[in-house]
Amino acid sequence: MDGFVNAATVRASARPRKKKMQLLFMALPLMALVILFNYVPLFGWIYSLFDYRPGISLWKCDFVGLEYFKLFLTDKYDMYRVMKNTIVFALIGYLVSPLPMLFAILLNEVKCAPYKKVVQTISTMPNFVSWVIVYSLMFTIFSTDGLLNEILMNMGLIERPTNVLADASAVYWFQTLLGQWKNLGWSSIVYLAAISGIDQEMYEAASIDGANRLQSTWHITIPSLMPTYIVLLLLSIGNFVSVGFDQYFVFKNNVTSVNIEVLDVYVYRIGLMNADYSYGVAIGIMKSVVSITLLFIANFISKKVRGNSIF
Amino acid sequence: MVRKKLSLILAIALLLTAASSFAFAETQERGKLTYGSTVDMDTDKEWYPTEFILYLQDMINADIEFIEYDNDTLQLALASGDMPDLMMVNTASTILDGGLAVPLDDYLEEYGQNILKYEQRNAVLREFVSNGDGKLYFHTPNTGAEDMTGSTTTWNGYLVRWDLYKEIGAPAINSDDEYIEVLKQMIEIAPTPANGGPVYAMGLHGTDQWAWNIRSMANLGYSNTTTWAYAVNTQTTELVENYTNPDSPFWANMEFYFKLNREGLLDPDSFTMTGDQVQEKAANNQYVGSYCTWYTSDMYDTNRESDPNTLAGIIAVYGEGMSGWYGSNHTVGWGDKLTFITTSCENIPLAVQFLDALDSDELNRVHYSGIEGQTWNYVDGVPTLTDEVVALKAEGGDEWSHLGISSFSNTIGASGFGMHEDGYYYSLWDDPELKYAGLSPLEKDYADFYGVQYPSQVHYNMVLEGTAINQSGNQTQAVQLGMAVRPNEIQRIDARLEEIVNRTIPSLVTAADQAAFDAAKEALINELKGAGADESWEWWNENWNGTLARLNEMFAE
Amino acid sequence: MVQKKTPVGIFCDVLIYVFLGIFTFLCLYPFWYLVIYTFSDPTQSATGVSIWFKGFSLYNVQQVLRLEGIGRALLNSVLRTVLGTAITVVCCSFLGYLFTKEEMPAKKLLYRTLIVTMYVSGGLIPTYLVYRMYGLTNNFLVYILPSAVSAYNIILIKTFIEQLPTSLEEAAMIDGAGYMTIFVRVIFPLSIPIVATIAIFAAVGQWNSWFDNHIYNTNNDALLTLQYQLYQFLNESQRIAELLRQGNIHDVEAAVSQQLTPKGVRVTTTLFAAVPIFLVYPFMQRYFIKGIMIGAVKG
Repeated sequence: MDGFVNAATVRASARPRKKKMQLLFMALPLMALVILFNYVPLFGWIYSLFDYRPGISLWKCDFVGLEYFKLFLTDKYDMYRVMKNTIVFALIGYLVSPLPMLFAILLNEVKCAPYKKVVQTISTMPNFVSWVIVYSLMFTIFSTDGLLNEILMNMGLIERPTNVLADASAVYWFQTLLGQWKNLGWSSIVYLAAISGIDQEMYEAASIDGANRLQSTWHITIPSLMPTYIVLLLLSIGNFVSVGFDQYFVFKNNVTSVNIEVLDVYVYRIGLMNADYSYGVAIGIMKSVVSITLLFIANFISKKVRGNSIF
Repeated sequence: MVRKKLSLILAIALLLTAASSFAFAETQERGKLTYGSTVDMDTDKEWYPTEFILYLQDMINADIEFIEYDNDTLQLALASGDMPDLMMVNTASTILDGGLAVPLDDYLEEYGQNILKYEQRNAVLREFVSNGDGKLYFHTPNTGAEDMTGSTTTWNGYLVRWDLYKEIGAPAINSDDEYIEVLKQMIEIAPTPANGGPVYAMGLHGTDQWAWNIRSMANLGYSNTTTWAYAVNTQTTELVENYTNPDSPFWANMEFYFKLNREGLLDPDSFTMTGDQVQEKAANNQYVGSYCTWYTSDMYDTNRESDPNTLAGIIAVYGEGMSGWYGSNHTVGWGDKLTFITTSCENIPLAVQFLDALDSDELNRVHYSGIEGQTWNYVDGVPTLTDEVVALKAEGGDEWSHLGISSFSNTIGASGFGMHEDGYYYSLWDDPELKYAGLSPLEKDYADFYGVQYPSQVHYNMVLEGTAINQSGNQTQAVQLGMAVRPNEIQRIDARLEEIVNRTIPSLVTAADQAAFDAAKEALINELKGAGADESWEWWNENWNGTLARLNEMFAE
Repeated sequence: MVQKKTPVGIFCDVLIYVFLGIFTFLCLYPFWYLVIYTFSDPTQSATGVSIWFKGFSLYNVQQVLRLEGIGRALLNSVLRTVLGTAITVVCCSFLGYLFTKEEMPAKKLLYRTLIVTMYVSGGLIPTYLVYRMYGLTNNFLVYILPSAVSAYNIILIKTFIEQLPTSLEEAAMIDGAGYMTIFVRVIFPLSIPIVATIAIFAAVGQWNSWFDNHIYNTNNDALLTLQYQLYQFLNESQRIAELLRQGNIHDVEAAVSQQLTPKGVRVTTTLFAAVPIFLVYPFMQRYFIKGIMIGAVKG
């Protein structure tokens, strides 16, 4: 945070040129891995300019220029719906972004150490299982002859089984709840750490002034956590158009697809399932460009506002 | 278990003696072929390799290794050129455009005499599947008539749980409405499932449009194409708009499931279940009907474990005018199972020999009926299955699977009704008495009830009387083989139409009342038209009819 | 933080305890369900379990262990997790350290080059072709090499190292130690919290990953991993659906007969796939909480 001394400037004492080059030489083999595994495959972006079919070499495929980019930008059937879903999930993401902070504050109010530890450990557990497994778990619980319906019907609360997994109107809130279930505990760790860094004397002073717990939280804890919150928020801006794939993919079915199909899922459907390969690549490229642009904008804002760039 | 081991040892011993007796003549080293497809060849099973595979390997003196792909990995194999010696694909265009297949012509004289016997098939393949150069690149399986008299049972029809159906007096069913009535009555008397849970008429693996289409499509006499947007009349090979024609099989099915749901008879999980979840509930006796017998086969299998003579299993009963999914004469084989020799193949003559073996009398008999002396013998000049193998088939299990009879249908050259040079079909099973002997207790009860020799004979008799139809006029496979590749725009429209329908099915089926259903139906048809349905239909209709006309011309010659 | 306990305060406390208790219960319950279902007597659990075991039986576990190749798959999963995590930790922490050096030539360019990789991808087919060219198909290395250098991990490590006190490093520098020596002797030991953090990230990623197995090593039984086996298992029917979508109506009978998977085995496999992470996690927890707190806070 702001209080940290920028160590790098201290370290940048004059060094012989040879030593500097040594740094570069040590970094290069590792950077070579990055080039080999992340950049070389980008040659595939050229497929977006051709009518490519796997099995036919590129020079035998028809060159179509920017046709696929145009197609996506002018598509009125899927594009609107898919972008709407993507943006809705992104906005909900921002809306619920303070929750980990609140969770951390609540957890910090727990004075019983073993209870705190148990809550903290267990609440991070869902973060460690893949979405495929989460789906398998949720199906066991929420399907019409799953556990939930069993309990509700035994208690006589409902007549016919409900199935939230097959309810398009429930997609937004249900997926948000699932996302929180999986990530809340994990994301709150950052804030717990930040809370433990707050100067205790501030609370004592406030207490002497007669502030109650709520007031202390409001006037001391939250302001202290704000910088962390803002940094994380800025970092997430680059991901505005990539709200994720796995979660939405595994929970997609005929009923939910209308609301759950976000951009990444759509790209998969177009590119692999419909075998419209070049089109899928074109959409992927546009997504990358938007992400990187947003990232640089966020970085710029961060520099202006905080005087400190993200990277 | 012991018997199985014995037969294995016997087989190996036979093989060894066979190998050693040829040792002097056959100095050639044993070759190796790799064969990739999206078909599961069961190579991970305990009973693999089957007697059939061993025989085939011996015939061409080569080991065959099967590679199983899925959609992704098949594309990767093609894209990278990392191909096995032989491959099976369902469309030829990429292979031809990419120049990935080896033309067989130069090898046929020397290695492919059996292939040459299938003149009509080869002529169509040369004409339609060669990018116009008239060469032979592909091999299709199962050329000839398919189950002319109906296999033992059909998977389509009005599917009912037999014990309950008999209990309510086995009323005749001649329409979907009567079927729903019967399903309702069966549910009323259905016992509570052992593992709890409600009983429904049926539940579908509705994550796949296949499930929402197949029932009416089969019962009304249609078959599917590469997209669910179009169906083919199996009597006339005429193409119909499945989505936008309000009288199509799709809409008949939607109407049926809508009514079923309105009565509370449709499993509400039908929109999210996968095939194995349907089987799970079937095994728990939660259904009294079905849309396709395969997806509920576990019901009978499970019930039979506790009571060998149980009648609690799903079986088809037939109404007037109903179509049975059998009897097609595939003049050019199954057009969506195209095997070819890849340009990566290093021993092309051997690969051609493999294809040639698939078309040989010898191997086709082995495939459909097993090995002479092992499962059948000439009795007074008539090839006759042994009693042991007939009993083994009825019993099922690993020992039967190990024989590999009819296990290679996606690749073998001829259908079971091809004629062996001895004057008998490749399949020796098409004998009503044999069929009767091989029936399960449930099937036997059904046959006795209707006074027939095997269940689907009820339907076949109706066909003979002219009160029902089968697929004898069906040329769908040939037309699909001959059709041009869909242009990208059409493919995109078709995919979009399917997706729109996918996500509308739930609201159609769960519509509150008839008025709401009709309104939703009209809205969907309009939405589909707005999404390009007419443009797609224009292309399909023109190409379908054009190809059909050309085929008819060729067959006329 | 000394507060006087007022009735309102006590009420708030109770509310907080209850809320956190419920949330914790919700997080735990699905996993608990796996445990009780797996170890209940299958003949009784079929009618449903909810809170506690119904009978006790190892039947499900025994059945799953009988699945062919599961031992091999387990071994591969463990191997890739251990090796993959080790190599990621070494590569990322060293590169992260180098990026804290302002005097490094072209630092900004290299660092941005790295960051951009978080947002770009060449797509499945090109990536496959390239990896194949490197000889990484049908090769165990494909599990560990491509993920060796990860931008996200490097950001975490770099920001962590930047806030370490500089005095130790300077002392070492004066003693004439080179970058490598300083990293190994001074920086790495001080960075254990963040290293533990990325280690758990990497381990979880490795353990849960199946797609690389599916794409690059799909027909090589010797390289199968546990998650891929599980994935296939959960998706048997999807494969059939795909076959059917291609109009392969003839295959159905053959395909369906193999997906007869009782729920118990499905649940048990899920448990198998989830449990090892939970066993490792509590040991790592105390390190990485400290790590992420310092690493990510600064951003």
